[in-house]
Amino acid sequence: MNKGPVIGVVKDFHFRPLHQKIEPAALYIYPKLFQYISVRISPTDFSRSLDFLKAKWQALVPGQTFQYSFLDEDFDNLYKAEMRLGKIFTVVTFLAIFIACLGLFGLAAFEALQRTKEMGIRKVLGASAAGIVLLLSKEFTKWVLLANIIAWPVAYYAMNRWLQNFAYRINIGPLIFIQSAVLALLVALLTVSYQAMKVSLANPVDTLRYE
Amino acid sequence: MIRLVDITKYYSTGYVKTFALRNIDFEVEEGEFVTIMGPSGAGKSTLLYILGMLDAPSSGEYYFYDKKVHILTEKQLTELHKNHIGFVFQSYHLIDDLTVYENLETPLLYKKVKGSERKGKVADMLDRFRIVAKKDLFPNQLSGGQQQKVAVARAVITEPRLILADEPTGNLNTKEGEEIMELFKELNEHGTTILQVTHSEKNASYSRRIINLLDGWVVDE
Repeated sequence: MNKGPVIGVVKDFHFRPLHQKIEPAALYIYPKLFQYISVRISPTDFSRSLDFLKAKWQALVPGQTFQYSFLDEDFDNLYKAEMRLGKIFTVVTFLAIFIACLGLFGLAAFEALQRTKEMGIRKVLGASAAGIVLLLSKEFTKWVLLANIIAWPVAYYAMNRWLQNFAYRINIGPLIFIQSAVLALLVALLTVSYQAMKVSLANPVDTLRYE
Repeated sequence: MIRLVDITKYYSTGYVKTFALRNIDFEVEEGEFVTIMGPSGAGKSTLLYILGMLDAPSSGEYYFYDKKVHILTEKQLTELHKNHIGFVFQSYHLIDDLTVYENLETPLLYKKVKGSERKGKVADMLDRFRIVAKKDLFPNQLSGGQQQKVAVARAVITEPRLILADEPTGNLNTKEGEEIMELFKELNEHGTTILQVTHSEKNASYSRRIINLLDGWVVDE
């Protein structure tokens, strides 16, 4: 088993899970000692092919159970764990984002409510409805930006730690941070401007009259 | 200067109309000092808010310097009252998050007054009302009387031709109230038209004309 003629060289391929680096490997044909036979069968009507193989097997080695598996399924299983993790992570991420958005909405509504009286006064002093919306939105987005800046290094660190598990991994570029910042700002602006518009359209007569 | 013709204001809840003002006719000339009096619920504040263009009448006509206020858009109304009318409320209504200086500055910001001019006007007000020492304090650090002085200064800083005051001394003690009324008297002597709503006979005595409201009607002058 230690010597033999080299009959071919193949390109590197992942014969181990992607966690591990591709290490040197030798593939040899040693008929005296084999454990697996790989058979390519036609995808159409493979139950007949299976029956044929089963019959041949039992004829050749009676008493040995006919065990088989499909290569694509085997391959799938290798990454089943990762796929599951990926799915769970996606669901949890969406939940987290949704809850954060709810929080943002509530915060925007609360702040708009708190400052209703102030906005009424500003309207009396000559502020336009647009000016009020701008004022509330500007101050709120400042906070969202700050939150982003705090979140970036934390997210970067966490993602890096996870990717260390893999010998072959993607690079975390700046694009993804920019995208999430833009998304967060968009949600913030939408929620705040909606609340701000409600406040800006309120008549100061109603908001200021009864103290 | 001000002319109200057959002004009526009602609120509808379902099928019921509650009248706040009924068929009000009255005029005010420039430079007058007028008091509107009446029991609670007579419609005094409603009238004041309509005069201040913060609220619209249900029917009737309002002429401000012969301009038809009742047909103006919200934007035009804001322009008009921002430039010509100063409002003083019973509860001062200063912005709590801003200092005295910033409170005084705010109406100038909305009038798009330039920086150096703003500084000058605010300094002038602080001086005239003798509140220079308080310029960096917040409203909740001031007494009621001081807050109302700031509110009056704020109403006056844009040099409006008309000041509307809703129970300006309602939350003040006698001495503080006197100070404010003296301020109004002084402003009136310099040509500002003043309309105040009040319960106090004493306050009314500073003015030269009294209009009484009862249940939304003008009862006597």
